[in-house]
Amino acid sequence: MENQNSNSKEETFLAQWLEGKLSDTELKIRISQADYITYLKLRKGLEVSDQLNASTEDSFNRIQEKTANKKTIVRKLRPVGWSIGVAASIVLLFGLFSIFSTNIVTHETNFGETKTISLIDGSQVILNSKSTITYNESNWKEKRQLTLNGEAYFKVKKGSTFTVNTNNGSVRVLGTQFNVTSSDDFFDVVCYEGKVRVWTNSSSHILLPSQRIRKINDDQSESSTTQLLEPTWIDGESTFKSVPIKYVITALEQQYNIKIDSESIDDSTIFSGGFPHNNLNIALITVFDALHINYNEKEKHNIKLRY
Amino acid sequence: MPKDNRNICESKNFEAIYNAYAKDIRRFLFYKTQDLDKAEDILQDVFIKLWDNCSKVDYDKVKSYIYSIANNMFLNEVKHQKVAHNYNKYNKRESTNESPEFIMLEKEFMEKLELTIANLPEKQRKVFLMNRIEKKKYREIALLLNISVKAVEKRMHQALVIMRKEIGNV
Repeated sequence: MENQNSNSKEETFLAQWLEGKLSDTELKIRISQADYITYLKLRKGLEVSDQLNASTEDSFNRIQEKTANKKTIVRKLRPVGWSIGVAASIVLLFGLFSIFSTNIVTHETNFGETKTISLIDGSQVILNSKSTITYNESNWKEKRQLTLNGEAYFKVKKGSTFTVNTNNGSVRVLGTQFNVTSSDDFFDVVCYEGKVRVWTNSSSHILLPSQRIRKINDDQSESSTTQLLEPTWIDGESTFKSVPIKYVITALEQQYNIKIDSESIDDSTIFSGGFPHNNLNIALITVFDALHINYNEKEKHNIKLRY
Repeated sequence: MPKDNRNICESKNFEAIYNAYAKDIRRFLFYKTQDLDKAEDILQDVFIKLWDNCSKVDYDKVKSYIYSIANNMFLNEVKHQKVAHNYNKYNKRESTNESPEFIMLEKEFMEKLELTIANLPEKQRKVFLMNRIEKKKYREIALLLNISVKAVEKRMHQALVIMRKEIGNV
């Protein structure tokens, strides 16, 4: 037989050998010694290459087990009295907890309060009343991402993508200024500078400066524009444009820590206008007088609305 | 307290370092030990040591740190088993000529092998990777590519012939 392995296009025996259908001895008699040794090494190399490229996850899990076990052993080796042991293990547990847990930071505002928060990358968040943001500080540099409930104005430093998640959708930007309001069923985003991408639960939009997108309940999202350079609440005034009155009522409640009973009015009435943050009386007059709604304070912090 | 984002003691960062270097370290250790299980064991010890010393190691120098631990641990291992190891090595090396049970896989060989696979002609490479990486039987590959089993076997055969040529004598 001629040197079959190099030129014959019809041969398949190496394939069968690699698959195990042809034994090493059977291969050996068909090819030269040098070829045989090379093929054996090739096969071993292929197997090892597979394993060298395989996932290292198993080892990682074992490392975690071992590092965890190690700490337990250290604890057992120190029987310095019962209480010290307990104290030590609590410290240890806390240590472990802080090592393994990510560093979640939460900022919250109370009724009528606004708060300016500087993030580690220099971005700023101004939080309106009764709002919360949560983010992970330890991986902030890789992933600028936070969760918002309520209303906040963002001044984002240029850099990687900055994402605001809410239960109504998410807003993503590079470096810009924008305002997000998200309560249970009300979602409103205004872009003041740069370019903002908004995902509601059902659609996606790109906002340019002065553009605004709003979504109430599960209605279609509606676009509009604003002439303002930044949200008015920053300067102590809340403004609304064609918003069902119930959201204005919620804003009033959050601003002034009051309860408003709107049972006897139609809370889907549309309101455009604003109210100041420093004077409840003026606030009530400006909102409800415009809509011809009567209000009276039954008891402190409890207001009843009637036509 | 300002949090250093690049602190190795943060499990996130530790895991990121592991994911970045574990495979390379395992490979490095395999070339030294020629034993995958041993390489895997030392790999684990290396990262346990890194974890124990996480606060003392500079993030920017972590790569050279883990490589030197890996190397030291390998040398310790050798010291412990010097006699047995040498004997085995000698023994196995000698038997290579006749019945090569122990086959030394050098770094250069492995690199050449992997490069050769990457440079196989498209037809052969496709079949070869489906068989080696996706672990598909020739029969399954034939079905997927809509060719005969014989054709798959021919391509596998050709792939091996090409690789043997590229690699030369060992």
